Amino acid sequence: MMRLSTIQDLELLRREILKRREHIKKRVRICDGPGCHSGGGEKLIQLFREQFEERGLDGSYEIAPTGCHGFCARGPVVVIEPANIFYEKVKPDQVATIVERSVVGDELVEELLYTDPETGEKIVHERDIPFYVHQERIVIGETGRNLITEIDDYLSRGGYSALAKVLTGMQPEQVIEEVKVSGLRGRGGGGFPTGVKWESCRRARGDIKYVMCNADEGDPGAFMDRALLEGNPHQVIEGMIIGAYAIGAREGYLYVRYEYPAAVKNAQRAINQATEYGLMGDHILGTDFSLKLIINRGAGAFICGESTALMASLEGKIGEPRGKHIHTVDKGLWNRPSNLNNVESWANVPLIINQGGKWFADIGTERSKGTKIFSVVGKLNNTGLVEVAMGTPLKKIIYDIGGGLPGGKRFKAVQTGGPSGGCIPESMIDLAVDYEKLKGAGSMMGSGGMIVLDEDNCMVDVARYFLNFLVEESCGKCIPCRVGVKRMHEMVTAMCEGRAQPGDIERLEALCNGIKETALCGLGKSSPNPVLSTLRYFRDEYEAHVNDKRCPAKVCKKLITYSIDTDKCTGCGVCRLRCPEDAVIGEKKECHCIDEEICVRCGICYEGCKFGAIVIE
Amino acid sequence: MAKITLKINGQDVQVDEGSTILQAAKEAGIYVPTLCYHPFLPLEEACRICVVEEVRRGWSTLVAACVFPVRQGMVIETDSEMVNESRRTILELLLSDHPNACMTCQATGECELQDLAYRFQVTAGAYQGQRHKYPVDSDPHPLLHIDMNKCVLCRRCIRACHDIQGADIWTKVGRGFNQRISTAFELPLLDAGCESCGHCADFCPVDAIGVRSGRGEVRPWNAVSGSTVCLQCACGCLAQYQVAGDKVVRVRGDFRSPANRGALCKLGRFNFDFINGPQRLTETLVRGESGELKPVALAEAIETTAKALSEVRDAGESASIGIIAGGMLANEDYYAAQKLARGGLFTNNIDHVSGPWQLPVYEGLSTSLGLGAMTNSLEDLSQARSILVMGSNTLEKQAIAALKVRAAVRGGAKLLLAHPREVGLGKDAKMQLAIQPGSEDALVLAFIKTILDQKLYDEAFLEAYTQDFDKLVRSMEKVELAELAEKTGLSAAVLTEAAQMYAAQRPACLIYGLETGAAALNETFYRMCAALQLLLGSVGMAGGGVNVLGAAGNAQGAADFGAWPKYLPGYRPAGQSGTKKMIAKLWGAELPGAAGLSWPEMFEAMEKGTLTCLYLIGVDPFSVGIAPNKVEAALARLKLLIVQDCRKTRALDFAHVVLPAAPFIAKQGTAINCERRLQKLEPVVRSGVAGDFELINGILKAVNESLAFTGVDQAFAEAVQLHKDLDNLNLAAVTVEGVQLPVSPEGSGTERLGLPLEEGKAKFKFYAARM
Repeated sequence: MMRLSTIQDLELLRREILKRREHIKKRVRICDGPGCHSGGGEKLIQLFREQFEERGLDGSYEIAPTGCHGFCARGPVVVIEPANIFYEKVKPDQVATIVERSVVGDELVEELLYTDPETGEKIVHERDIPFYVHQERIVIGETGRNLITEIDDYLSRGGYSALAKVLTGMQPEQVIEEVKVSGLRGRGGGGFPTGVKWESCRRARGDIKYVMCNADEGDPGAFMDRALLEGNPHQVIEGMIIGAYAIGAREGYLYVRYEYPAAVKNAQRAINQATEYGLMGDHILGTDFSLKLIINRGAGAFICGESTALMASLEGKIGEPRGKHIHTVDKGLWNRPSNLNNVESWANVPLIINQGGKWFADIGTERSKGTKIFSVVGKLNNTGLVEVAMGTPLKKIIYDIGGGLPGGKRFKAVQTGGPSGGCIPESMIDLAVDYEKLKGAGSMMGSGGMIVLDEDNCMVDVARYFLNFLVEESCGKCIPCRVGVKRMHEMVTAMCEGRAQPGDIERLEALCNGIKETALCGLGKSSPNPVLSTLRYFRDEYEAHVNDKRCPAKVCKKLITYSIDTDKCTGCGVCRLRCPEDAVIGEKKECHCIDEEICVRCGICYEGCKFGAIVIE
Repeated sequence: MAKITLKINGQDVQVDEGSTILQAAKEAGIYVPTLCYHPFLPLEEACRICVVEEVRRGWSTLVAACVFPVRQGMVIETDSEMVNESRRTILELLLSDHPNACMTCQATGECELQDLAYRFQVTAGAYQGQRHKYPVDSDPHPLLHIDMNKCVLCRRCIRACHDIQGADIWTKVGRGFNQRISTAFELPLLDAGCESCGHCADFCPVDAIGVRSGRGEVRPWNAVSGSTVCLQCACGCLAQYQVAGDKVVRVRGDFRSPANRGALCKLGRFNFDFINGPQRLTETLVRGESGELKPVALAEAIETTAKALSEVRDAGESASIGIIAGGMLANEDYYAAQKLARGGLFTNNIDHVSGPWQLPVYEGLSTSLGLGAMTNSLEDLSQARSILVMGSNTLEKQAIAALKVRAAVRGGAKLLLAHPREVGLGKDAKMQLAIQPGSEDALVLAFIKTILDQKLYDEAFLEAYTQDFDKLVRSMEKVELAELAEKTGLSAAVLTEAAQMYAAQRPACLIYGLETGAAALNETFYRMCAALQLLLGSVGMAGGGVNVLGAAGNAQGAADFGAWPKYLPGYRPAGQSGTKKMIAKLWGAELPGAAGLSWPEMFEAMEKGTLTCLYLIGVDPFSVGIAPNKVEAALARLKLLIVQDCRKTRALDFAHVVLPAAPFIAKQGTAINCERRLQKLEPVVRSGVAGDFELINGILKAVNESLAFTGVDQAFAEAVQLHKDLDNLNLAAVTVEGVQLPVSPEGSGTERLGLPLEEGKAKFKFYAARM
C-alpha cells in the first residue's frame, strides 16, 4: 500500500480505486452482522465463494461480506447489486440457485423475496421494503454496503473525504463550530452536546490530550455500536481523527468490550489500514497533524461504560466511577484532558463535516438533532437495527417499521434506555422520541435499546429482570447502589413470589428515591428507573402482586396455578406425557388434572394443549 | 489565595478557593457526617454519608461534601429533611448487612458506624435480606483480628496500606453486593506480604480490621488514652497509647507530629510486651552476703550504690567507673547520667549504646556540612527523585523513613538499594546492589569516582557553594574503580551503571541507616557521603541531603546532651580547658581531663580488670553485639554492677544492685529523633516505680548533693545553657509538633540544613578521600 503524502493524493487514490472497480458488473452483499452471522452468514459467504470459483466468475463479479443490514428478523440477508434485489432468510442450499439465476442470470428467486404482510405482495428491492422505507439510515446505512475488510471500499464511497476537508484549511475551532451548529448530542445516553464537550476539552489546560471512543456497549439487547464498529470501523475512526484534530489530541483509545471480538478485529484492521495509507499515525496526509489510536479491550464490566470508570479501567485500575465534580475534559485519563464519545457519536462526525452542520441540524427536533439508531427487540415482528430521525413517533417505529407485534398480541409497553431506563406504556405510543420526551416520560434515551413488551409481560417481573442485571453489574463502590439495589431486587422478588407485605410498595418507592438522590454515578442514580417507571404506569400490577398475591399477566410462577378445564379436556394425554415433573394425572380418554404441589409452572402443558383446556389463574 | 464566599445553613462562610464543602463546613463549625473520608488519606467518595443539599434556583441536588469543591455564591444545606432522610437511608442500608452485635463488638464506644447510627437515630431492621456470612477471625495473623462481616467497605484500609505503608496488601475483590476487602488471590495476610504495620486497623472505622490485644478484656471507655513519643527507633513517632490500669491495650499513630503524621511501624504499634509482660522489672534488689539478690527499699539501694561509688572516687580510682546508657532514655536522663559521671564521679567514662555509631556521624558531617546529624526532615525524603539507601534494613529499623522512600518511589523516584541481604524495600528498588557487609564506603567512593570521571556533577552548585573541590579530585585520582568493585563484591560495570542512575535525577537523596551491632564506618565515610551529595548539588533542598538515621530511639538526644566519652553537652570537647572552666562554674564541681572510654573500650577494660564499677541504665549488655561469653566474662569481674532497667535481663545474674525503672511511656522529659526534632515526652501510664531520672538524680544527690536537680525541667534548663543549638529554648513554648535543631534564639527550628548560603558565609568543604 502506498502512503499518501498529500491531501490531493487521497483524491487521486479514490479515482484510481473507482477506476479499478469500473468493470464490476454485479456485487453480492452478504450480511455478516451479528444477527446474520449467527444465523449462518459466514457459511453463506463461503458457499458463494465456492460457487463463484466453480463457475469461474472472474473480477467482474464481487462478493462483499458486509456489516449489519439492520433487518435482523429476516436474516441472513443477501442483496444483489446493482439491481438492489433483497433476499431474506437465505439458506445454504439456496446459494447455488441465487448464483445461477440472479448473478449469472438476471432473474429473481421469488421464494426468497420479502412478502409485504399487509398486501401479501412480493417486494423485490431492498429500498422498497416498509422496514427501510420509513427509516433514515444516514449513519448506519453504510454498514450494510461496506466491504468490511477493505479500506478501499470505504474510500471508493467517499471515505475520509471529511478528514481531507478538515485538513484542507479548516481550523480546529471551525471544526468544533460545525459540530456545535449541527446540534449533535452524545449518543451514548447522556445527550451532552458534542461540540461543547470538544470545545471544553480543547480549552482545557494540558499538553497531552486524549480522544476516546466508548465501545463498551453493555445494555441487554442493544447492539448498534457493535454493528457500527464491526461493519464500518473506518467511519468511527474517521470521526475520531477529526475529533482529535479539533481537540488537539495526539493519542486516542477505543475501549471495546471484550465480548465483541469481531469489533476488536475489524477496528484493529481498520486502524492498520488507515495507518498504512497515512490517514493515521505521524503526519497525516503530509500535514503536521499526527494521531495514534490504541484499542483497549474491556474486561466484562458494565460499569466500565461509565466515563470515569472507563478511564480508570484504561489506566489499569479497577473500573470504578468517581464523582463528576472534576470534568473528564479537564482531568480524565491520567488526569489529562480527555474527550470521550460513544461509537455512534463519532460515526456521525464525518457526515456533519461533509454535509455541514446546518444540514444535520435540519433533521430531528428542536433540541435533539439528527437521527438515532435503535436496536428494537422483544415482542416485535421486525426486530433489528432501526435508524430514524429524532422526534419520530414511537408508533411509527413499532408499527410502520417494526411491523407490529407477532401473534396479534396487544402492545403493552416499550422499555427504552437499557437496564436503568424505563418503560413507556401504550397510552404514550404517540410520543415523539427524543432526549427530552423520553426523560419526561420517566425513561431515557440511553444508548438506544428498545424492548417491546406485550400483554403477556408482567411489569413487576420486568422490573425484577432489570434489577437482577443491575445487582450483578453494580461496581460496589457506593453504599446506595451496592446495598440499595440489592435490597430493591429482594423487595421486588418478594413481590413476584407473593411474600410482600402491605406497605412494601411505599417502602420500595422511598428506597428508590433515596438511591436516585445519593448514588455516586449515573448508573447508580438511574438504577431505580426500572421500578419507578413501571410503578408510574403500572402501579395496579404491583398492587395486585402485593395485596392480592396475583400476577395479572400470569407470569410470576409463585402467584399462578395451572389447572385443567374439565369441560374442554378430551383426555388425549399430551400434557401428561410432556409434563417434565409428572404433575398431570389422569387415565386416557378421561379428564386429566394437575397436582399443584408437584407443578413447577413451566407452561409446557399450556403450550401443548390443542383444546385450550389448560387454565392459568 | 482567592477567597470564596458561600452560604451554609444560611450562614456566610468564607474559605480558600479549591476547598471542599466539607472543609468549609468544618471551618464554620458545622457538622457533616463522614465515614469513608479521613483527613490523612486520599479521597474515596464511596460512602455518600456526607451528602449535603446544594440549593439552586428552583431545584436542589445532593452532592458529596468530602469531594465537592466550593463555588462562589453556592448555597448549601447540611441539615435539611432531604439530607437527613438520605443519610438515614444509607445507614439503614449499611445496617442491613452488618452484624449489629454491638454488645460484644470490640469497637463499641469508638465505632464510627455506631456513632452515626446514634446521631441519626437509626436502628437495624429497616431492610431485610441477604447478609454476608464471612468467617469471624478469618486470618491467622498474630496481631490483627479480621471480621469482614463488620466491614462497611469504606476502603480506608486499602488507602492506608497503599498511601501510608506502600505495601498494597489490601484490595477490593468482587463487585456489587459481593464486593469485599481481601488480599491478592485472597491469601492469608502474611502470605500476601503483609508487613504488620497495623495501619489498616488504625483507620478501620468499625472493627472489621482490629488488633488482637485487649480483645474481650478492655472496653474503650475503661481505658485512657495519651500520647507520647515512641523511643523504639530513631524516627520518634508520636503515638497514642490506650492504657487500662498499668497495661497498654492498644497503640495508634498520632497525626499531630510531623515526624510520622499518624504512621507507626510494627514495633511501635505492637511491641509493648516489655511494658505489659512478665519480664517487667518491679523490685529493688541488692545482692547480700549470701550472694542472693534480696528486695530492699529503694532508698537503701541508692544509699548503698552511692556509697560504693563515692568510695571508689575518693580512692582516686574514678577511671575504673563506667556508665553506659541505653537508647530509650530521655534527654534529661542522659544529661543527669553524664553529670553523675563527670561532676559526681570525676570520670568521662560515659557512653550510650549507639555512641560508637553516632560519633563518626557527628565528626564526619559537622566538619563537612556544618551539622553532625541528618540534614533533612523525614518528610523531605518523599520529595527525592533518586534515592540511595544503605545500611540497616530500613523498613524494620527506621520504618518511617522507609515509608517516605516508598512515597518518593510512587512519585517517580528511582531507588537504589545497597544491602547484603534481601530486605523489605527490595520490591520498591529500581536496582539492588548486593554489596559486601560494611562496604558502603567503597560504594560511595565508586559513585564519586564515576561522577567525577564522567563529569556528572553540578558545576554551578560546586562553584557557588563549595570549596576544596580539587582536594577531592586529587585524592580520587589514586583510587581505582576495580579496587572499589572488589571491595563491594560488585562489578565495575554495575557500579558505574548504579552511579549513573543515581546521578540522573535530582534531587538525589542519600540515606544511611545505622544499626547497633553492624560495622561502624568512620568519619571519612560520612565526609564522602557529603561529598557525593554536594557533587550532585543535592544538599539544602527537600529530597536531597545526607540522611543518617540513628541507631536508637534517642541516640540524637544522647549525643546532644553529652552522654558520650569525648563530648560534653552541646558537643563541647571533653578536656578542653575553656569548656572545663565554664562547666565547673555552672556545676560547682571539678571535671575530669581527657576523653573517657567508649562502651566497647569499657568492656575491654573490664576484661583487663581496669574498670571495676559499671552502671547500666536501660541497657541489656547481652544485646549490644558482643559475644555472650565475653559479656559474661567481663561482667563477672566487676566489683560493682548496677543494673537499672524496666525489664529483666540476663545482666541481673551479675548485678550487685538492681534498680527498677519506669518504661519510656511513663516518662516526663524530652527526646530528639533522627531528623533533629526535639519533642516532649508525656507520661501516659503510671508505672509504680521511679523513672530513670529520679534514680540517677537520687544517686547524684547521694554522691554530691550540690549537683542534684530539683526536677526534670531544671535539668533541661541547665543543659540548654551548654548547647548553642538549643540556645535559650523555652520548653513551654514547644508544641506537640516539636522543634527541629538548631533552634534560633527566637525559638524557630530548622527543617533542613539549608541553602542558599548567606554572602560571606563559609562554603561547604570537600575532604580528601581515603580508603
